[in-house]
Amino acid sequence: MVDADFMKSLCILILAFSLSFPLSAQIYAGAGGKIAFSSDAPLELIQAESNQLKGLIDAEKQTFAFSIPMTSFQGFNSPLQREHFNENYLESELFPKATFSGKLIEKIDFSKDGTHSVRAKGMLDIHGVKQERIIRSEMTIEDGKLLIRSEFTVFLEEHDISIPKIMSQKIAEEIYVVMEGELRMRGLAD
Amino acid sequence: MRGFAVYLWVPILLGLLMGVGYAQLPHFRVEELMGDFVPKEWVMDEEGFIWMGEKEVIYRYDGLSWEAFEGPVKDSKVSSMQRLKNGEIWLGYENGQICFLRENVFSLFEPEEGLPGLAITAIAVDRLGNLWFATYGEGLYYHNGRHLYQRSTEDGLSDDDIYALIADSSGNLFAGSDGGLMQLFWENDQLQIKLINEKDGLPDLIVRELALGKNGQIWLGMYEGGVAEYYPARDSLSLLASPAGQRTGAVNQLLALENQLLIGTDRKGLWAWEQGNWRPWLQDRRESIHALLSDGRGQIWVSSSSHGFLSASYRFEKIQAVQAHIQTVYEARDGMLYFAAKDGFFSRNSAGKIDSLIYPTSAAIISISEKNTGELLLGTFGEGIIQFDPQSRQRRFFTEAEGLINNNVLAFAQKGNAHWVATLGGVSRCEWQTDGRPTFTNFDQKDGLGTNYIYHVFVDSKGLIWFGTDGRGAYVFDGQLIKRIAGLEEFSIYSIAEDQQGVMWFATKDKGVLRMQGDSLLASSPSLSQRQAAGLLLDAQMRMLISHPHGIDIIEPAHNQSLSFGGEAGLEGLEADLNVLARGQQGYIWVGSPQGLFRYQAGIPLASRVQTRLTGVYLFQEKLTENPLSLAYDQNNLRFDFTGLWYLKADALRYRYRLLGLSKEWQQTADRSVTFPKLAPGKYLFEVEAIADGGGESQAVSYAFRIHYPIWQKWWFVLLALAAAAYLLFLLWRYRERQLRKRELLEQEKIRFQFETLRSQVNPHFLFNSFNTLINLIDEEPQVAIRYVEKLSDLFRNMLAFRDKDSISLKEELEILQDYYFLQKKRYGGKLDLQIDIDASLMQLHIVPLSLQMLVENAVKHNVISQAKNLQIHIRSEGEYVCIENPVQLKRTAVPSTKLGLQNIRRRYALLTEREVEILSDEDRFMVKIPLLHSST
Repeated sequence: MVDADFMKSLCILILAFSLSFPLSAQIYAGAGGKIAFSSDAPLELIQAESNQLKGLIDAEKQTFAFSIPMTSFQGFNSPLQREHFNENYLESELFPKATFSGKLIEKIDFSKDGTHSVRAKGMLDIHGVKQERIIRSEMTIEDGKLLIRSEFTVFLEEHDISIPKIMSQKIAEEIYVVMEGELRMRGLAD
Repeated sequence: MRGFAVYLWVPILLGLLMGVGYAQLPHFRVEELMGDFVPKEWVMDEEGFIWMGEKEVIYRYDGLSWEAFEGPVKDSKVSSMQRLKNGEIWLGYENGQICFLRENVFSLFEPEEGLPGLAITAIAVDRLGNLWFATYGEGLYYHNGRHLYQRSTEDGLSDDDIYALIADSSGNLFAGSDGGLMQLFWENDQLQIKLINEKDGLPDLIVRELALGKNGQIWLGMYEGGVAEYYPARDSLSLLASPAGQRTGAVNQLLALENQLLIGTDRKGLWAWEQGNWRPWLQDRRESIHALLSDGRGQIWVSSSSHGFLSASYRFEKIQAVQAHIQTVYEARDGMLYFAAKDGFFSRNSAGKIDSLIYPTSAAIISISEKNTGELLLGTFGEGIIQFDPQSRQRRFFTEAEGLINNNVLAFAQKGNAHWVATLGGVSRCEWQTDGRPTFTNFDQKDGLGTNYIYHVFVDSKGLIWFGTDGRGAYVFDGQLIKRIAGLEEFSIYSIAEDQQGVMWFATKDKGVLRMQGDSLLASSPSLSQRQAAGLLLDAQMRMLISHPHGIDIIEPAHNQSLSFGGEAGLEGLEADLNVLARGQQGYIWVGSPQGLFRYQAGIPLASRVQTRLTGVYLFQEKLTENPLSLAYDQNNLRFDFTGLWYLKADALRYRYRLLGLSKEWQQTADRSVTFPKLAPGKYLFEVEAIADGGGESQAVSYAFRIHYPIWQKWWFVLLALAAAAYLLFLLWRYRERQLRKRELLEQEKIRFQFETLRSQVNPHFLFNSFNTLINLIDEEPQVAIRYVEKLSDLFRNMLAFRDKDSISLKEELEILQDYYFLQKKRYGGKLDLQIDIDASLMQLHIVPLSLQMLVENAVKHNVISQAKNLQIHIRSEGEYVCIENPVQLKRTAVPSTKLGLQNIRRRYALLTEREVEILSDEDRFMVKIPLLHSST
């Protein structure tokens, strides 16, 4: 299963990451990536972003893992809205992180500079609800750096995020997400 | 209104709806679903039932009703289903469990190695008989009958997320994964894995669906890359171009049909691909297709997100919706299709582009043919023949003025360079000159035709020209003469055709279809759904198509099978148009109808006969799991559930049944269950047969059983019981006889005994002795003498009193004995001694009267009693016996004895008890043992 398989590799990745293993030459890691979402409802446009996206890519195994703390999102149209976001809809205390982890479908050569369109298939875990997703992203390899940019939509219903009917005019059912990150080869990042 | 035409039951509504034409699809009908269950995995079993997996429940569908079966796996959804060649159905679940259905029983598959625990996405069997399971995350597993093995990325698979797995007929397995297509095959006992991916031109590595093509190719459905076709033998991969201007979306399902590939997509609808052309099969192009199924006989099923569960016969497919009423259709030799409606004349190329060639027409075009030079001949109603050049669109007119016999041209037939033309004024033969002009030779009533109204002209395989006329039957022209066909004189013949056996077919206005072999009319007419028949056309599979106002009947002469298609296939209102059937390329037949152009595919096998199935036999509402054949007399309430498999028109099925043994009459019913309560004992055969409207008859299925007679109604039991009763009566009778005889004997004995006793007591000896004793006593002891006389009288009174009785108590007997002893004691004094030791508890037991007295008397009588030899008689009890014993000291002169006394006692006892009177005698002692009786008789 993708899940178990991934957990296994994630553990190894985290181990490698935290211990700064010398074998980490195959691993790209980065923190401080940017993720922004927008909800374009008939009566209101809500936008928020965070720059606390963490990510790892194992170039050899072609696996990846990304994570973002839910409370790190800033923006919104009012502080109250942000509070609602964390307390009522995303239940950030219960589910502090959103993650996306899995494997890369297209096998790319990380050793050469270039730009690739790669699909990442894995489990998108938001609000504690996992959904298998295939998300296309653009990866640019440049001087040992890996730039990732991806746009995708999240269906609130798929993640059991229930919006009161009265709010449906103000909160869209599909949330448009843009993520951008820069990962470096583990050895160089330290 | 729904997004596409659905089959509605109310004919009026149907009629209204049909006015709106939808293009390019078979006529789908919405099947009723079981609750909100949306089928995603299904297979058809060998019998023709559709099995659909959900969770705990597996449904079986027969076109009308659902039957739920309990599966062995709980809390997980069915994620794959596969029917194996041996008829078993295997089911894989999302939690990795696997079960199979064999002979209607579900069993879990439990290999000793355990199962993966991940979703089973596909099941297949390879050439060696290994059973393969595709998993979502752990690659492939296979079981060779003993052990389970795994093949994953470590063994060379491109990815462990497997979506699809199929086996082809050349021994290959194909797996679709996140890493492209994999081809697996055994070579020298080694599993070889060949990867087909982007290096081979695969546009998308995510291969979600596979299907086996007709020519050994593998169809691949991808996530983003559309559909590709892979020929393993040639190792060639080619991509299907997407429909113009559209993306097919992620491919969920592929189904290879006879001439086309069905492509079910995720949120992009259902498509049919055929030789480069894409046609949407569902009007709603945004829906997701979950599952596709075909029965291989022209029926398909679709499970879709917005319409649920659909079925359709795709034998007739609506290729083009045309609002106008099409009156005639013709496919030209170059493949261009032409058709004429009431107000125009149109062409349609193979890509589906329609051009209006003549619009409006001043006259109705009702027949079309083609010259060898490529110009079209259009027969009109009232304006003769229009010769039309499709290239230059030039028209020329050939009418009565040019020599045509009549301007109403109903039909053409071509023979060589000539056209025969049927008109309402006779027949014209039209020979084409090199300058393209015709020379007409005309035939009418004067030449032997019975009427000038000619509906049809046909050239048979021998080159004879046949004419169908109005009310005058058919005529044939052999080049010399026009002959009338005997036997058809009464009929209006709308159409003539010839089948492969050379049998001529005649479609009549209201008498169905008649057939003629040689000169003789065939007695049996093909069974049609309608009495009216208009057009006739032989398809590429040598089946005859017959158009009539309500649809089309298809007759397979070789097997005498027939099928009828009408509203359920979208064919309605064909009316009596004579030229709406036209032969096309690749075995297609075009059908023009008021709703549009239909295309018929001859390549689809004709549905076999209606299959009748017994779905359950119930004894007192309890389902029987096996045929018990014989039932007890009280197992006499039987219910039979049955169904017919006829997906074309499942709701129009009727049944007939009978229970031989109860009635030989067939009963008709629309129900699918019949109960027979209180069946009498006997042999039965239940027969049931489904009957489809226009689908021929099916074979009856039967169920034999026997209800046994109850045991008391069996001949042997009756005989035995009679014999037993007779024997019982006999015993009773014998017993009574014996009793009577016994009583009689008893009476006799009693009388004899009394007589004996009296005789002995009143015998002179006794009296003499007694009186002698008395005399002595009177002198010496007068007081004793008085008592002696008293005792004597007591003795005689008692004797008299007890003689009638069968028994008296021991106590009474002893009293008599004491009296007697007193008398004898007075005579013998101390020389006679009687000692009595009787247990007091026995005193109330009974004894034959005077028996002890008589025995004592005997002892006194037969033995010496003297000073030297005293006689001591000892009476004692011994258990429930009384023993009377005395020493043997016989008198030298034997006392005359009748010996009757002792015999008497024995006989009387024999009558009263089974215990015997025992006599023990030897040299010294004589003893008699008398049983004591418990009650007086």
